Amino acid sequence: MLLKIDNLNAGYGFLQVLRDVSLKIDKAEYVSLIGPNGAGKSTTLKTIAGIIKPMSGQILFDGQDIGGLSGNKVTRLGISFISEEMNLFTNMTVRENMMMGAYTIREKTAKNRLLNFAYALFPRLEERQNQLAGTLSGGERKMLGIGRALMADPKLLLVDEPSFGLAPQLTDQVFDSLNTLRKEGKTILVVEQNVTKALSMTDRGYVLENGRIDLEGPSEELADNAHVRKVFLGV
Amino acid sequence: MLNSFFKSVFAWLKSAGGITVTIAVILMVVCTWDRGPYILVNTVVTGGMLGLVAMGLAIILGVLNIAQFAHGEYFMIGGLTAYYVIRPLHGYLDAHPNAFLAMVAPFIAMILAALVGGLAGAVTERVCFNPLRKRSRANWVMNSFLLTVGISVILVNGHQLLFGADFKGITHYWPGVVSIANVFMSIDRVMAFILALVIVIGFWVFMKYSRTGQAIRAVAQDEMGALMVGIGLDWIMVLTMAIGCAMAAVAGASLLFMYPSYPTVGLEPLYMAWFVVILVGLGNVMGALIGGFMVSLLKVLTLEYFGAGWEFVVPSVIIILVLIFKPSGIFGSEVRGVLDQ
Repeated sequence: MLLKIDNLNAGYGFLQVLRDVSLKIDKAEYVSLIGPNGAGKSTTLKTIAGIIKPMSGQILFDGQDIGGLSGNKVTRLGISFISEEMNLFTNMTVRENMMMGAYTIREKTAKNRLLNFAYALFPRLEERQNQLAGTLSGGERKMLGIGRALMADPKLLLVDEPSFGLAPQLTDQVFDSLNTLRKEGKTILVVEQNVTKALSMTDRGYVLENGRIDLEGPSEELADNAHVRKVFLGV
Repeated sequence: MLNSFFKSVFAWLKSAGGITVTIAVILMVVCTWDRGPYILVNTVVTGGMLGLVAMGLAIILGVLNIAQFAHGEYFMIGGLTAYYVIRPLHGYLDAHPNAFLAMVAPFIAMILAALVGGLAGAVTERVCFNPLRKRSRANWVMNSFLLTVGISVILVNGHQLLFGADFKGITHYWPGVVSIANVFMSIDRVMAFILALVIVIGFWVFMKYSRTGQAIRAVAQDEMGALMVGIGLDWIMVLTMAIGCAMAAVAGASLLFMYPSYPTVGLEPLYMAWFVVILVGLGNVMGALIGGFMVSLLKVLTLEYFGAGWEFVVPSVIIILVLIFKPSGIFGSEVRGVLDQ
């Protein structure tokens, strides 16, 4: 089991958002976390990534308890978090952003290999490599966000709402790239508001409502589930 | 290709930054021709040092988002350290002006000043700002600013308590003058300028090409992003504060022959550095260097044409105008975080 979360309680300051959340992800799985706005999906990712400290509960990554570790240490252990806002370095070029993504990688050959892999996945980034990140379009920013996260050679990718604010065509492109990563053997946990898309691409899903896991199971089954269909798909 | 270079230079010249720099250069040339080369010399020497102090302030503002109002105290610490290195040796140095120690002692004083200043900065960050950051980020700019006021009081009075309130100065570092293009300048002034140049170049190379320097720039631009790529924020914060304070300390040390050290000597460099930082845009580090020369020029010209006592008036008026008409500074602010919090 690559990632195992048991009874996680977390929130911001005094506001508790997650209540007894448990989930698990195996190596090379592609899992989605869906739910309505405010359910706590982003909070879940941020707590795993070390940006928020858990109030109680356990997060085991590769057998190691990572609950409470700061974000940079979590990255070093092999988890890359791609936030909704991307958090790009706006005054650095695309290439500089990518190289900063490889901050934890020491050997030059490894850095170059990772860069070539990312550029192969997103040729647009290579075209614009000397452009300042702050001047990129929305879709390009998403690509850079994902590309930069890949530069750390992660075992687990946490992706927060990759299709948010994107035109449908670009949404497809982003999800295609995640699919490619999945084929390369990467483990991915994706938080998505676009439930149809999320359930069609992933293996398994968890449904989060009001900070609790309501439903879980194979994505196909969730897509057919009556509750899911009523609440999210308006059917 | 040359054509596009000239085009971009021309475009820059039309911006607020370009216009101001052009006016400054013209003013300097005209006034040097009018009143003599010491205008140029004074501007360049004090400008380089003010640039160093302002760069230190800019980087602390940009990376840690701290409105550092105790920055002048690190200038004071630098001067103090250099004083206590040189003073005991003064008798020996005067008697043996050609000894190896006479050449090297000022460098030792300045290096030691940088180290002590840097250490003071690191300790300040660890003891004062790190706990505050861990506790709460709400109202960060205001809270950290209030903290710096307290730090200033402690450092100023600490100096007085431990070392007394007298002026601690030296007459010179290296005796003698040198003549460049028929203008006589004391060696101290020339060395101060060369030192500033060396430090600035080293700093620029460090920030642009070294892994740590890039990490510092990343933290300044997006803290969360830096955390996400694996940069340890605590370490970067301590290091940046140490670097910023060390730069102020070196400036204080190398100008000891001009500014003797006493408890409140840091006040003027502090105000001047803040003028520079506001003028060029908060957090703009390389702009702060150019701004240092411009504010220095302003001060030298005010002294020359208006007389002593007006030194703070003219820069203050300029700052008020800048804040009214171009609050992001003439070169533009690079700090996202400070204004958004």
